[in-house]
Amino acid sequence: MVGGIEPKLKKVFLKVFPSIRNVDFKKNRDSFENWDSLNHLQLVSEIEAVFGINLEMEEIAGIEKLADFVPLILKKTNKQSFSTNKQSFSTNK
Amino acid sequence: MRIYARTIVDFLDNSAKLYPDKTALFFEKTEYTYSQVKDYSERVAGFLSRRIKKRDFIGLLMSNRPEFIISYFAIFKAGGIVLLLDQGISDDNFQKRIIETKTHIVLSETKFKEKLSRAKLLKKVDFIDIEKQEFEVSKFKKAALKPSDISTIIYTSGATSEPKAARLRHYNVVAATKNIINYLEIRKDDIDVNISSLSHSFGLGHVHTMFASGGSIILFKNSINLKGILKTIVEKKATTFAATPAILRLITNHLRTEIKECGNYLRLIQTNISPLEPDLVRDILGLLPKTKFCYYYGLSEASRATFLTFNNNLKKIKSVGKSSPSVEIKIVDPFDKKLDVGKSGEICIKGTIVIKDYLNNTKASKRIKNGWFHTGDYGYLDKDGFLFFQGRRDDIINISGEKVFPEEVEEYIRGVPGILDAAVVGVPDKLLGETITAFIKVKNKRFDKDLIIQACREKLESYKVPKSIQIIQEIPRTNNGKLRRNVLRSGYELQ
Repeated sequence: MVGGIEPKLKKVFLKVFPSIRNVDFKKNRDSFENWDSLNHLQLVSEIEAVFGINLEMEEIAGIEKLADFVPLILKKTNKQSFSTNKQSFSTNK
Repeated sequence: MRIYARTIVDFLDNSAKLYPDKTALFFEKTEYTYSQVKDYSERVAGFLSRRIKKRDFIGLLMSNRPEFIISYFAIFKAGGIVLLLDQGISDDNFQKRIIETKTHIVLSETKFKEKLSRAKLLKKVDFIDIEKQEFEVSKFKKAALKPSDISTIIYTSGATSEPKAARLRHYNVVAATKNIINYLEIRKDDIDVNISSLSHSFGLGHVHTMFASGGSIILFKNSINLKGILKTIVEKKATTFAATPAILRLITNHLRTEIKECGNYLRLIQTNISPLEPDLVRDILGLLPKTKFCYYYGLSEASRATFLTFNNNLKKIKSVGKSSPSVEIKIVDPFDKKLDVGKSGEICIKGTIVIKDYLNNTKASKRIKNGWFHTGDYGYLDKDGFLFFQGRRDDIINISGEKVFPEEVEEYIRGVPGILDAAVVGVPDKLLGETITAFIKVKNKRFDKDLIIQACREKLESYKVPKSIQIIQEIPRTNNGKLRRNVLRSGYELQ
């Protein structure tokens, strides 16, 4: 699952930060030349759209590096597929 | 409060003399007193004075950090002119600005070195990395500055399609700072929380205000951790806070308990950049009943032209306030004739806050006629002298305070193979205020929209890249070929 998320995440990241040549998932956001508040929100907004998730305010604030998105995406997408399954289960019922 | 400053340097030097041991700046776990900021700025000034002549431009490309403020004052002390460079600046614009101003020194930090190389400026510019450069104490002669000397170059969105280099004089900044201090009753015991970018006049204005009055600043790198910022307000008992409407929207939507607690300490909240919706104003006033909530209208060319305190002007909630002391405002028609109360036209501003002119741009400089700056903004004055802002003449898109000219984005889109015509508009966005939607007319219906995104990404700042692209049959234009953006916008609103 993580293997599938990372290339997609990298693509989204490069959309917001096109000038970055080396996408390092573990590099702190302060070390990127233009990872400011506005670009942080743009990145979150793009990730939410691409992965079909909603991040909470505290989750958004807690993201220090690109890698921090991975567990959040995993958690949110799993939850969503669980609730979808639940729904189809109750429909079958 | 009486301010005796004649130039920007006096803001720091006067406070360092009056309150040497007072904390001027809190940043993360470090504190800087006024005398330390002065001392560090003189070390940097000594270094610069051996490398520049008076009135040379020095680029300042840094994120929010104490060294920004130290370098800012150092440039003036060495006799230089500050060229403010936003950290999100595209490589193309960075190159253009350095070349246009003939800047040969940029004070910056390690993470921006690559930008210099991408902009092919490595051989043209001396990149001073404040993280690596040692600044020793050295004897130097502090530059003798006059209030009429140019202090700063700010590239502004202004009223025409090309960004222009506004030339601010020291006395423009001093006048705007005095207006803020007097209107908002800023005091030396104020503690300001600054989350705005220092490379914009909004964020930098708060440095001027606090340093001129001897107050303290709690500086944040950015506004990403809003909850942490509000927690700091409580812990440090901060008294003033400035934020853009986009940030205030986030706070009122997600951090209601936290901001309520801040109301025990904050005596003042300021905002500007884009007009506020009345519901947001009422919400903030309800959450913080004891806090003064103020708005101001201004441009880089005429900073802090009006002020409004919402608390006692609820009937004027849709206005942007009344003119600042020593500032005159009038509304004119397209023939520059002054219009009566209630009539809409172009907003013009006169006073000591108005810039000298634009660098290398005589045409744009003509917007200042007999001391009146023609803003390009539209609005009207009511019978009580309140100004009502109605919009940007040139359809500038405002993305969380960042101004985007549609023409600039359209130019790149039209260059993409397969595009016949294009138009760009700003559409409302809950998070950012506005985002960009591009409408395109294409040769082939199976056109790949990603080509546009790629083309824009290569040349433009990321916030200028369209968020949505819609293929339409025909781009609406008038008979003489002018784009009808309002048709596109209203079409979007109907969807």
